[in-house]
Amino acid sequence: MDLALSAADIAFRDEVREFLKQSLTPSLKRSGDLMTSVFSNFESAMAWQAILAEKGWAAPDWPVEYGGTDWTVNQKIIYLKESKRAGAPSLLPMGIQMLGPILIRYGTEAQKHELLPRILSGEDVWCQGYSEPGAGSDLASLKMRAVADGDDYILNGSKIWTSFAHRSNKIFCLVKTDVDSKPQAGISFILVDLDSAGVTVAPIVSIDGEVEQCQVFFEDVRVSKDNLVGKENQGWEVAKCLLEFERGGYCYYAAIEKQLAQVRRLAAEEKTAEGWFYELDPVFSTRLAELEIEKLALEFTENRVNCLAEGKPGALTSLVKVAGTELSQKVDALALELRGTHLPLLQNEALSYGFEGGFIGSEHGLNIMNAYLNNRASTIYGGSAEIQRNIMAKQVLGL
Amino acid sequence: MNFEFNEEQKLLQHSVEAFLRDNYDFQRRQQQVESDTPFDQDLWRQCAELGWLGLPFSEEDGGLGASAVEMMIVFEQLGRYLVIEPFFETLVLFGGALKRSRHPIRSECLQQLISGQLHGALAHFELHSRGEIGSIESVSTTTDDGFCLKGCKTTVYNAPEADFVIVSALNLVRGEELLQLFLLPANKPGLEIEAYQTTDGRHAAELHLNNVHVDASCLLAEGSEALAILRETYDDALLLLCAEHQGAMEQLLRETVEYASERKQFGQAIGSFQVLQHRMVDMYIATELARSLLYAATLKSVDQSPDAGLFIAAAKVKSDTCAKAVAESAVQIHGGIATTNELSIGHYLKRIIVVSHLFGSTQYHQRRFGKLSRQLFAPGGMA
Ligand SMILES: Cc1cc2nc3c(=O)[nH]c(=O)nc-3n(C[C@H](O)[C@H](O)[C@H](O)COP(=O)(O)OP(=O)(O)OC[C@H]3O[C@@H](n4cnc5c(N)ncnc54)[C@H](O)[C@@H]3O)c2cc1C
Repeated sequence: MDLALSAADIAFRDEVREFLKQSLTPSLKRSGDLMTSVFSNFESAMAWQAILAEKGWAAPDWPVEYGGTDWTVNQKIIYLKESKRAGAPSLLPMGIQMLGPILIRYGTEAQKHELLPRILSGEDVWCQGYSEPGAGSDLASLKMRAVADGDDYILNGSKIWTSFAHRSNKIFCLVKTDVDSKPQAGISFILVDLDSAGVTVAPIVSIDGEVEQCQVFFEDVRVSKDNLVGKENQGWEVAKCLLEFERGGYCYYAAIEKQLAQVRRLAAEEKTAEGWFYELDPVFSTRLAELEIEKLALEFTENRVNCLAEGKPGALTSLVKVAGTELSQKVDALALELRGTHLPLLQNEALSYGFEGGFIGSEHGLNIMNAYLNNRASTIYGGSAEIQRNIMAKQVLGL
Repeated sequence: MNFEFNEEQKLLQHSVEAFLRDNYDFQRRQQQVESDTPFDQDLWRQCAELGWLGLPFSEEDGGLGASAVEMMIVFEQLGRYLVIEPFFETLVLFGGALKRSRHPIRSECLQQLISGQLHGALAHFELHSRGEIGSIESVSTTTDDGFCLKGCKTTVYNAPEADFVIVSALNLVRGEELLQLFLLPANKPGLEIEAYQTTDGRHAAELHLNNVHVDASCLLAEGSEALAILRETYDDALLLLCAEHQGAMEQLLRETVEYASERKQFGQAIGSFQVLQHRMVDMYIATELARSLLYAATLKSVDQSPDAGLFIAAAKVKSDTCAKAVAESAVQIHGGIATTNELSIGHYLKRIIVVSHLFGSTQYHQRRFGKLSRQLFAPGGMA
């Protein structure tokens, strides 16, 4: 057992810090600091991805031969943590974090050769077409059909909650290729161009007034069988593997540290009704301490999970997802206190990338209400808090 | 003790509910929110015709002289239907402060308000007040023929639509700060209204007092009288926000149970999963606990009981925490669909969160409770 970073890790950390210092422009940093969601806004995410791609750091988890890095687990954690700390925007995960590893594991040589570079360069923007109106938690009950027609499939059905479909050009979908066998057995994983004939993307306005999700409709959409990833009817295995990448490969505590840093900053600027700074207020600082302690417990749990289960996170990802998302919601709620009477102000445009106009109230708290609202979704998407607990009950406790 | 509404109160509840059911479905509300006009003037006129705008005012002022119980009944329904029309701002805050003053213009002004022709806003709290009534920084200086006002009032709901605003400021008299309240027409030179839309579908503004010159006749009240007006007005207001929460909680519970009974996953209604059942039962428990304190505080306020303030603080704390928990559970149980603007659930959540921070947070009202309870239970105290 050992907590210390090696000399090599310290050197690496300093290299990352230096790079971030040089590369994060003020508008990128502002955008990263004022994130309202697990996603950065599209423009800043793509701008930052371009900078990282040039440096070779856009997809740390990929093998070097595909444009990834040879970083150790520790180095990946250091990188994530330093990026958050510096206020870097997050990259959209659908291509780099989700589809990339799937293609590397299940894709044909042609798919890897063609698609991976386009993900890194930002030429292709992918979205994830899993959920359907009738298939949320019970993903295996999905209904979208793919019927073979010569070398093609004909797709019919609809996907919902598809994040950033309105900004993407491609979607990976789970579809039914066999309706007669058990639900999981008849599913395939297929890649679709969003500009194919018969695809319609309808944006959904979220409770914070922004569009992140969409419903995507497919009406007789023709797709070549070459676009299957994995074999026909083996999509469930691919999908499950992807869900693990979705749930793992994320550093909850680093994101929470950033939220806590914002709270601390505002607590040093804002005063209570009694006229002293929140940071000196015994009640508030106790509430903050509670959450900081929870963050520490999460941090070392995540470190343990990452060190132990390299490549095979299993049910522990459920633990981390529940603890991480629920804690981040508590920090959101604490931040509401600091924003106080300015909570109701709708100033979404002031949160956009490159915004230079005026706004009302403290800039450091501009995102608080939107972040609180948006983050309610974190215990719903990617396997809800209830589903994660069901998984742990079954897989860990054997109940 | 008796916690039943009397026949008249039941009738009032029934007629407000029936009116809103017929005229205020959620789709229509959303159309109004997204339209160019802040609220529905026709609906406001109808409410005037129904006499509801006169409820909290004395017969002398042309009103109906209803008590806090009747107002609670109305506000529960306003909360349940997510009504954005400014009952709270014009009637409770502006009208509430005005009706407690002795200004000669009071009756005329209130009569116009009751007939639906006049809108108002109360501009007291500032960025640093955080619910503390005594904590403002706007300044009034005495001039030859009146006063000059300087400062900034924050998040003044309904200010963009108000014909009149009541503004507070501190006047330094012989080294002492004297609280003053002024009644001003909203188009007074120097009064700058920086308007914006709010998360909860309404319109509010930062109100800048850029050397507003007012003559002496605009002074509504000062000193301890002004303070009492504000204290009583905000105590009424806090209770009615709890009543609004109450209506929202009930509706959230109803809609959530309904949805959980219909929505199927894994071949069964999600309402059949015990973990969700328990969560809905917790919503129910929270709703009933909050209701008890709301009733108790409202009755204490009607009786002008010495511990009414204590109960109002308690009701506010309980109502805010319960309403937040209920709304968050409602979102969680609905799943993805609740994170969209299309469903009412998220709009309840927004209103609840915003309201819970407008006139002091939970932490603030816990402190107020603590202070009042120390006073009451101190040796020689009132208890
Ligand atoms: C912001 C956001 C972004 C998203 N992005 C994407 C995306 O990019 N691509 C994509 O494919 N999907 C996406 N989703 C969809 C997401 O994965 C689903 O919302 C999620 O799977 C839950 O499904 P549902 O919303 O239909 O809720 P339901 O499955 O209907 O669940 C409703 C409630 O029932 C509970 N429940 C369900 N089953 C059980 C059970 N067995 N035991 C106990 N409780 C249960 C749930 O926990 C929840 O509280 C996104 C969702 C959101 C909110």
